[in-house]
Amino acid sequence: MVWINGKAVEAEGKSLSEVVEAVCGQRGISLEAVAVMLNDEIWVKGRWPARPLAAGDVVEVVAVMQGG
Amino acid sequence: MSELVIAGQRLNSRLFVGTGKYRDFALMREALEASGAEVVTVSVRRVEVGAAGHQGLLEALDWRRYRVLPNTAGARTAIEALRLARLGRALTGSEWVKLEVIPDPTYLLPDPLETYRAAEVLVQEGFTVLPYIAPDPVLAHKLARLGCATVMPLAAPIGSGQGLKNRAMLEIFARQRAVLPPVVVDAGLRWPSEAAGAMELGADAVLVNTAIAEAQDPVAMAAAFGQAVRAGRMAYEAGPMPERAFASPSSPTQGVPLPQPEEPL
Repeated sequence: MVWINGKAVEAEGKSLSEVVEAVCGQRGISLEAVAVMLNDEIWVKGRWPARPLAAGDVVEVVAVMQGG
Repeated sequence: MSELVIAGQRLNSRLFVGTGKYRDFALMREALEASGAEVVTVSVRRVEVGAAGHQGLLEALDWRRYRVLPNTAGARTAIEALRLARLGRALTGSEWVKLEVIPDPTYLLPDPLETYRAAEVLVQEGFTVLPYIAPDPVLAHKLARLGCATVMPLAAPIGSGQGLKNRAMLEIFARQRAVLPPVVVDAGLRWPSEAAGAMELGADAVLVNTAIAEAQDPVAMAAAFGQAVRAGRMAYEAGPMPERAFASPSSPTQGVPLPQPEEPL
């Protein structure tokens, strides 16, 4: 299983791009507006690595939201 | 009115505003505009379906007009704050971070030790750190020595609308402002007069979110806070009159056309 935004998902072998595009597509947020953390590394503006995801990988897809 | 300078950046407003709790983006945009604020705080959150406040903000505001200040809200430890700060920097391209480390969900009081630990690392990593703290002048001095760009003592718990509850402690900050970085009074205000009051004490700026966003007319309240902060700062710089124990008449005491005491009514 791969952890995507805190949920366990069967995404082993998929690319990070596929996963991020799916997350952003469902929420209507552009790829330019998100940052992606794969384990402890941060990537932005679509420049994420091409390697396939492996079991145990932790992916966070985040954006700037409202806050004080 | 003197300019506020933080980390070498001249700011055109001493009112900082948050973007949380607005009914919709259109109202938020209008309120931000009415406030006259330049520094605007945002949070970093997972992209999730249907979660409150989870619409992307980066495309909702004209960031050429505002200085974005990503916060670390949601962090309960220094480690979590570092993660949020780094993500905020990646997302916004800004080195500025409002450092919040809050383990307590009831009063949302910041953890001084974890805040200090996180600030130490963030300053080393080149961040411009604006830490949210309890009004503790000793902690403020220690954060200043680390190289924090401001200190942000709380007036009352976040979103409580209790006003300048910590006035006595904020007066100590004001008296020590010569040896502190800019003091930004953050959180807990309800009325613009409280923002003016903080500025009259000598605060360098005030940060307001809920008091504007949850006002019945957020746009009018944003404008009122903007004016109050300006008025408070102008009054501080003008300097108040001395306080006296007894009254002092404003009209001349000589030449009052009173009847002679022996004259009949």
